[in-house]
Amino acid sequence: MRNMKKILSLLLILLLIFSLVACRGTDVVKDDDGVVEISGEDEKEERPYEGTVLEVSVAYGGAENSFAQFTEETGIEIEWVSMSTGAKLSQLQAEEGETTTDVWFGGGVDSYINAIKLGYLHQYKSPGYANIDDKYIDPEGYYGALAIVPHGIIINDDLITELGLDVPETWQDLTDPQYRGEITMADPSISGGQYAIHSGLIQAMGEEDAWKFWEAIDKNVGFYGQSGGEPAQKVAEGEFAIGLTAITGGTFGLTETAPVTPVFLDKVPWIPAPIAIFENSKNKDAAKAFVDWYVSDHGQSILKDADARIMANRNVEPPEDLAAILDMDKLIDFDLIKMGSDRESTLARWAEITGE
Amino acid sequence: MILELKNLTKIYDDENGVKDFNLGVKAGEFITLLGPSGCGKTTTLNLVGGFLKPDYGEVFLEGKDISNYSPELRPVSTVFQNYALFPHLNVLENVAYGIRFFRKFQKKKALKAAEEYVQLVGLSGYETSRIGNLSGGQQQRVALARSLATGAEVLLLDEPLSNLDVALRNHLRRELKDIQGKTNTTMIYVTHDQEEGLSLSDRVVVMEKGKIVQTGTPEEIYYNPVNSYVANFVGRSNFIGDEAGNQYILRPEDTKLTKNSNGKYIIEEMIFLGHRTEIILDNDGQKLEAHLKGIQCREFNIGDRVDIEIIFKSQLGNT
Amino acid sequence: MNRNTSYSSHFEKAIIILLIIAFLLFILYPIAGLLLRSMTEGGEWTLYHYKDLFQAKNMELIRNSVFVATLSSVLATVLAFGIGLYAHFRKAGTRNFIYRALMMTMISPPFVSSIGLLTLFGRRGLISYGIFGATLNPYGWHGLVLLQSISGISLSAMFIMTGLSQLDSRLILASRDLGANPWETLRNVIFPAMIPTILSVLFLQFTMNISDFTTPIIIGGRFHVLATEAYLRVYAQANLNGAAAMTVLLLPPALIAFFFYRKNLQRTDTLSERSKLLDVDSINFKLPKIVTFISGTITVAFFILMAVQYGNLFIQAISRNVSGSLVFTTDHLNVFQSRHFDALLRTVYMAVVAGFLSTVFGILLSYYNKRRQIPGMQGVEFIGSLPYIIPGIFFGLAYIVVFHRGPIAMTGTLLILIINCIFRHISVGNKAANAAFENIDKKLEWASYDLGTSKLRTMLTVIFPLIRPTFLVSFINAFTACMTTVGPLMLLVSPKNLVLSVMMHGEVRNGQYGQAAVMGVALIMITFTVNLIAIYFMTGEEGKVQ
Repeated sequence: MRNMKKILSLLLILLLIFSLVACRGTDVVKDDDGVVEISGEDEKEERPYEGTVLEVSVAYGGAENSFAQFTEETGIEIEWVSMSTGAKLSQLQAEEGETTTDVWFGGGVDSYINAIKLGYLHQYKSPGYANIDDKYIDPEGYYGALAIVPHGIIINDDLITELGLDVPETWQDLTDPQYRGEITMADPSISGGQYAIHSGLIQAMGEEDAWKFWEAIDKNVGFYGQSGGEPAQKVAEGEFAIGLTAITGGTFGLTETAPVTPVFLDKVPWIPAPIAIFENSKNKDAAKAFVDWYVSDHGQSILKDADARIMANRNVEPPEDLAAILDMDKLIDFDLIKMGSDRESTLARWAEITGE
Repeated sequence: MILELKNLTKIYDDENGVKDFNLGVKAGEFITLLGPSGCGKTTTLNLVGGFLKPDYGEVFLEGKDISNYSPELRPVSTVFQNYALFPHLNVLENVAYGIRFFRKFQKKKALKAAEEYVQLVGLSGYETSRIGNLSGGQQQRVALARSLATGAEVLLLDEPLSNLDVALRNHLRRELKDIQGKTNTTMIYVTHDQEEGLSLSDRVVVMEKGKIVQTGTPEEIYYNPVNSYVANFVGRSNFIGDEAGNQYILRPEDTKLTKNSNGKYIIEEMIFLGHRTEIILDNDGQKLEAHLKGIQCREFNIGDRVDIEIIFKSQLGNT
Repeated sequence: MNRNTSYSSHFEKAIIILLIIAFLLFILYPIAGLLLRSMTEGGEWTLYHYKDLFQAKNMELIRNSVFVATLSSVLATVLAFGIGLYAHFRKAGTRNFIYRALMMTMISPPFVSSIGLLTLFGRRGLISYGIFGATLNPYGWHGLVLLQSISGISLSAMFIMTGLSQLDSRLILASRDLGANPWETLRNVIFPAMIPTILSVLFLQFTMNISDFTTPIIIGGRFHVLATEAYLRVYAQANLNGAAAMTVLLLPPALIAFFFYRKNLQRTDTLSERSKLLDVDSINFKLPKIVTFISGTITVAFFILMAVQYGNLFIQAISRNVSGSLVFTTDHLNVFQSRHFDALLRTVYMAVVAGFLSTVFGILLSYYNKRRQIPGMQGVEFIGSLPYIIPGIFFGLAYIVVFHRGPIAMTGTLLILIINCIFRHISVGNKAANAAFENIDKKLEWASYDLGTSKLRTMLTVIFPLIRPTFLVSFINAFTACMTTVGPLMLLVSPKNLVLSVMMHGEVRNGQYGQAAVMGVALIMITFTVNLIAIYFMTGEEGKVQ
C-alpha cells in the first residue's frame, strides 16, 4: 500500500515537472534556432528575421495550414490564437492597445475600422497592395486585404428532398412560406458576416425593398445563431434545411462529410478578410515581411491552398469549385465605409423586426 | 411482567453484541443494565427500542410479541445519550413531537398537552427556548419530558447523565427517581457508573461480553457478587481465602483498624479523599485495602502497625 | 526560545499582510478598475453607459435572468436532494460509489452538456429524431432551464450528501421512537434539518446560473438573458464599457443571494452538533417506499443521462452526425496536434498550480478568519467571494484592464492565467475549510501552544495535517474548475498562453463539434486521472486522520 502511494506521488511530481518543461519547450526551440542563425551566415541576408516570433490573432478558418510554409521560407516563427475580431477588439480596449500580438489576420472589417479610430493599428502600405482592388483595402493603409468572402446559403439536400422544398434561387425565394422554421442565420449584431449580408442587401436592393425582405424572412427563421459559423454547422448536422453563411473553403469541406450544397443567390454580398499590423508590435519589420508575404502572388496562392477563397490579389485565380458556382458579376457593389457607418441604425431597425 | 426478553441475541461482525439475553421486568420497576463499554448494554437497549433487529429471540410487552414492531409502533421510548433533541424545534415542540405522532394528537392539542410534561421536569418558562440555548442539564430534562410525553409504558435511558458534571448528575439522579415515582413508569437504565446503578435501581443487571453475569437487588450485587468480575466492577474489594479453599470477598469499608505495635499489618499508603481515607496495608507482601471513615484518618500514620477486624465478609459465588 | 517565537510571530504577521495585499491586489483592484473604466469614454469621465441601464429592454433581460436562474436552481436542488436522499440511505458501498460518480460527472468541459443535449434531443437528434422520429425544438427558456438544472445536479447532490452525513442519525432514531413513521420523520426531522444546506445549494446554484452565459448561447434561441447579452457585447460588439456597466445589473440579485447564503451558513454553524455523531450505517431506517422509488428513479435517470452524455461526447470525437445518422471517422483525432498537446500540458500545469495555491489561500483565509478571528479578515473573506459572483468573462477583463502596464504588467503570460484562476476559485477551499474547522477541536491547538509550539508551527504541524482531507477535496474541486473554466480566461489568452478549454470553446463557436469533442475527451480523461489520484490519497489517509 505504502509503496503504491509513493509511486503515485512520484508520478504526480513527474507529471508536474514534465509540464513545466513542456511549458518552457518553446523557449528551448527558439534558442536552437538562434544557434542555427549564427552558423548559417549565407542565409542571413535572405532571411533577416530568422528566429523572430510573431504573435498572430487569427479569425480566418484554415489559415493555420499555411503558417508552416511561411516559417519554412522566412524563418519567422508564428504563434497564433483563434479569436473573433470582436473579442480581440474588446481585449485591445481593455489593455488600451498595448497588446503583445503583432498581426491581426482576417475577420470582420468593422472591428478593423474601429481599431483604426482608437489608434491601435499601424499604417503600412505593402507593395503587394498594388495588385489589390482599392475598395478592398483601407485608403490610409491601416489594413490590407487577404481575400474576399462571398456570402450565400448552404442547403441540406436530404432535408430539402425529405420536406419537399424547392431549392431557392433568389433572396426573395427565401421568404416563401414553404421554408417556415427551416431557415437558420446568425444574429447580425453578433456575426460580422451576417451584418455584411444585411448591409449588402440593403445597399443592393434599396432600403425599402430590403427591409420588406428582412421582415418577411424573419418569419421563416427557426433559429438565430450566436456566431457566423453556426448556421452552416446546424445545416450540416441536419437541424435546419437552409443556412445563411459565408462561403469559403471550409464550406466546401462540409460537402465531403454531409449532404450539403453551397448556393449563391441572385446577389452576392461580400466582405474582405483584412490583415493589419498592431501599433504596439515590437516586431514591426518582421510583421511587415509577414504582410508582404501574404499579399504577394506566392503567399496568396499558398493561403488559397490552405483555405479556398477568392483571393484579394487579382493575379491569383479563384478556386475552381468556387469559380464553378460563383458568377463574379453577381458580387454587389458594396460601400464598406457606408456599411460601417450605418451599423447602429441597421441593427436597431433589425431588432425592432425580431422584437428584441 | 410488563416486559420480557427471551433469548435475545444480536452478534456483530466483530463478535461483539448480545448473547442469549433473558430478563423479565415488572411494571413500575427501575432496572439498570450495568457494565463496561462494549459489554452489550446499549445493544440490548436498542433491541428493545426496535432500532436493531435481533438475530433471534423475542421481546414481549404485556405478553404481546413486539419483536417485529418498528420503533414508532412500540410503546417504549428512549432517552438518548446525547439527548437527540431536534435543533430546529423549541422546547415545547420537542416535547410535543411524540404526542403528535405516537399519541396522534393534532398539533395544537399536542402542544397543549406537552406543557404538563415541561412542568413536570421543572422547565416552565423555557417553552419557547431554542435547544441550542439550553444548558446540558436542561437539555437532559427536555429529553426526559419528551419521552415521558409519549405515554410510553417503558422508558429506555441510555447513559442519560454521562455528559453532566458530578453535582448536577447527583441532583438529576434524585429528580429522575422522583419523577419515576410520580409517574410510576417502568425504566430500563443503561450506565457504566456503579454508583448510579446502585442508587437508582430496584434491580441491577451486570453484563459482561454480551451476557448477563448477575441479576439482583443493589445490595445482593454488592454483598453477594457471583464472581470477582462483578465484585470488582461494583465497588472495591479484597479477596481472601481460607484453609478449606473457599474464596471470600471483603469490602474495604467493612473493616476496623486498631493500633497495635505488634500488629500483623503495616500502613504502607494513605489516600485522603475527605469523606474517607483509603489505606493500603501490607503483611509480608500480602496487600489489603481498608477504608477509614471521616476524621478517623487522624489516628493513623504511614508506617504504623495495626490489627484488623473484619466486620463482614461473604463467600464468593454463594448467593 | 523567545527569539524563535518572535521570529515566528513576525513571520506570521508577514503571511497575514501578504494575504491581505494579495486579496486587495488581485481581486478588489481589478474589479474596481473595470468599473472605473466603464465610467469613462474616450478618456473622459461619463456615466453614459449607465444612463440607459434601467431601460425596459434591460429590465426584461434581468427578469429573464432571474426567472431562469430561479427555476433552474430550484429544479437542480430538488433533483439533487432526491439523489442525495437516495444515496444517503443506501449501504456505504453504494453511497461512496454514487459520491464518486457525482465527483466525476462534475467534470464538465465547456458546452459538453449543451451539445450533448442538442445532438441527442435536438431537431434532428439521434434519440428524438433518429429513434422516435420526432422533431423537437429545444431552443428557448425550457431547454435552458433543463440544461442548467442538469449541469447543476452533480455539485448540488454532493453538497446535499455532505449535509446529510453531518446529520446526527440519533435524531432519526428519536423521531421514530417518538412514534413518527418514516414519512413523518422525513418531513419533520430530516427535511427541516437539511434546510440550511438546501438553501446554500439553492443560492450557490442561483449565482452560478445567473452569471452563466455559455448555456444560453447554445440553447437560448430567441430567449435572451443578461449575462449572455453582456458577454456578446464584449465578444461580438467590442463594447467593453457598455458591457461592464451591464454587469453591474447582475450584482444586486447576486449580492442578495450571497448574503442570504452567508446568513444561512452562519445558522448552520450554530446548529451543528459538536459531539460525535451517530452515522447512518449504525441505524436501521428505511425511507418511505414511494420516496425510495421516486428518488431512486431520479438517481438512475440522472446517471443514465450522464452516461449517454459522456458516451455521446466520446462518440462525437470519432464520428459525424449526418442528418440523424452516425458516420464514424478518425478525422477529428488528427486535429490533435503538438499545438494542442502543448496547450493540454499548459492547462494541466496551470490547473495543478492554481488548484493547489487556491486551496492553500482559501484555507489560510478561513484559518485566520474563522479560527483565529483576526479582525478585518471577515472583510477579506467577503472580497474573496466577489470573483464567484460576477460573470467570469468580466473577471478576466478586469485583469486586462489593470495588469496590462505598469510594474505588474503580465498580460499574455501564463502567470496571469494562474493568478486569475487562483483568486477566481478561492471560495471553494475557503467554504470547505470553514466547515472543517467547525469539527476540529480547538483544544488541539491549545495543547500545541501549551507544549511550547509557536502559532506558525502549530498551523503547519497540527492544523494542516488535520484538514488534509478537506484540502484534497478542495483541491479536486478547484483543479476541476480550472481545467474546464472558460469565461475568465477567454480574453486573457494570447498565442503564448493558450489553454485547452479556451481552444475548445473556439472550436464549438466555429461549429467544429467533432474537434471540440476530442479536446473535451482529453480534458475529461486528464481531470479524471488527477482526481482519482487525489481520491486515492484522500481515502488512504482517512482512517489515519479521524
